[in-house]
Amino acid sequence: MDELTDDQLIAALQSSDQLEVNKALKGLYARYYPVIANFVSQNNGSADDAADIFQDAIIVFYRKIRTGELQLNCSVLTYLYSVCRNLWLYRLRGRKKQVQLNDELESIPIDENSLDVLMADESKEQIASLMARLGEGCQRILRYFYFDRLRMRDIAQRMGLANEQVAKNKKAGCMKKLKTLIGESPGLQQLFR
Amino acid sequence: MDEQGKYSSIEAYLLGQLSEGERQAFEERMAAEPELAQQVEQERKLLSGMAYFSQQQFKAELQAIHREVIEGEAVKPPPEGKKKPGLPWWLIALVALGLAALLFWWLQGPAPTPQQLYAAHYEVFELPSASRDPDNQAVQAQAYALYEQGQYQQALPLFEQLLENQTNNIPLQLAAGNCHLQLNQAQAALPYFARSLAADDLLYRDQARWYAGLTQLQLGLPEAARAYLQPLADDPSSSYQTQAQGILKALKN
Repeated sequence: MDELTDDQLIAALQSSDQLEVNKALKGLYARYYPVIANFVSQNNGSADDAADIFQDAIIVFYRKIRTGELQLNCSVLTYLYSVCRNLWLYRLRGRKKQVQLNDELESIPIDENSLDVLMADESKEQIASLMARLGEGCQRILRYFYFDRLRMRDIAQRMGLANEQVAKNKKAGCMKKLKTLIGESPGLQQLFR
Repeated sequence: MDEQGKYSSIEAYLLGQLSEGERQAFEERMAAEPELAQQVEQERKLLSGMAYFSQQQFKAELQAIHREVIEGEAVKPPPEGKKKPGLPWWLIALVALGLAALLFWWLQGPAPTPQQLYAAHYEVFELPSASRDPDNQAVQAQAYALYEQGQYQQALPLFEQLLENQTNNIPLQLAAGNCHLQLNQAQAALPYFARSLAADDLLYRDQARWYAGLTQLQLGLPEAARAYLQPLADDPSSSYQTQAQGILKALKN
């Protein structure tokens, strides 16, 4: 793959074209994973830890980009490194190890709220378990709209639907199904009256 | 406002699709209408639960990318055999050397580029004579011979084959990475050095760092290169200390 600059990587991650996005994700792995793996291994972590931390950092980065919230004043590497550094600190504290990191790169402060997407809680887990009961078509359209933040026009194209309106109707139908499941779910009735 | 319209504006608010003015107006309404505020909160929980589900799918996709890019699972060996032979390797090497020298002369400005630093410091990894594998002696002997003759394109698929059963054979990993570097495929080389480092084999740790650092230079990522080279520069027992210090100093300029 050609070397992408940070701006090109970000533009590819914003794309509505799945191939472009995948290319960028692979580029991120090839370029930056080794740096993170090195950092984690220097700080009492295993290869599995490094893989996991890096995945979480990509999730945070990807969601920031797709929701249009990313305001980057540093390189992509510095951003990813800083997120990984924070995540690794949390885990080490959880394991009650004495925490003193060996840093190899400069890092920037990361707003704790940006890591919230990674945290599981009861309502998230329960809604996710209901999502799993929807058909594949519904899972896809809801993901494209709420997670990947694609426009209805792009969703219609990607799913081979006739037009934007058909996609809108399909999404509304899927939401209705999900809300019915929520209504039938004792654990969630409290939350969603 | 009808129910549908209300739902749409709640969703637009949560997805960050309102203009600044609309957002403020909506928040003022929420402050005045506790019922609306409660609905927004419910919808927020719903959306984060849905996104959480999709995120788990996304994470599984990232794991597949990890296996492909880092662990090299689905990586195809470079085409070989049936393709018509290209230029002889020594001619390519000669031309490359000439071009590199020309580039060096051409770009001899105040500070060397990362790629120039790479060219100035890179030397191919020397395979140790030990570490023979009794099961694959023939393949290994051939891979070693091709590598030592500089036939990197031909040696690479053999190293790949050997690595299938010997992931932890670090000299093989380093040699395969060096084949890619010699073939000007720096990005493809990196995972081999990452695996070498991850194995944390004290015998080869410095070499793994050194080649990973040089590869990042070749990729034009001095920041990443620094991460690998700094520990070498700080380590008086490392045979790469002086060279690593030199590169780091040049990068600072």
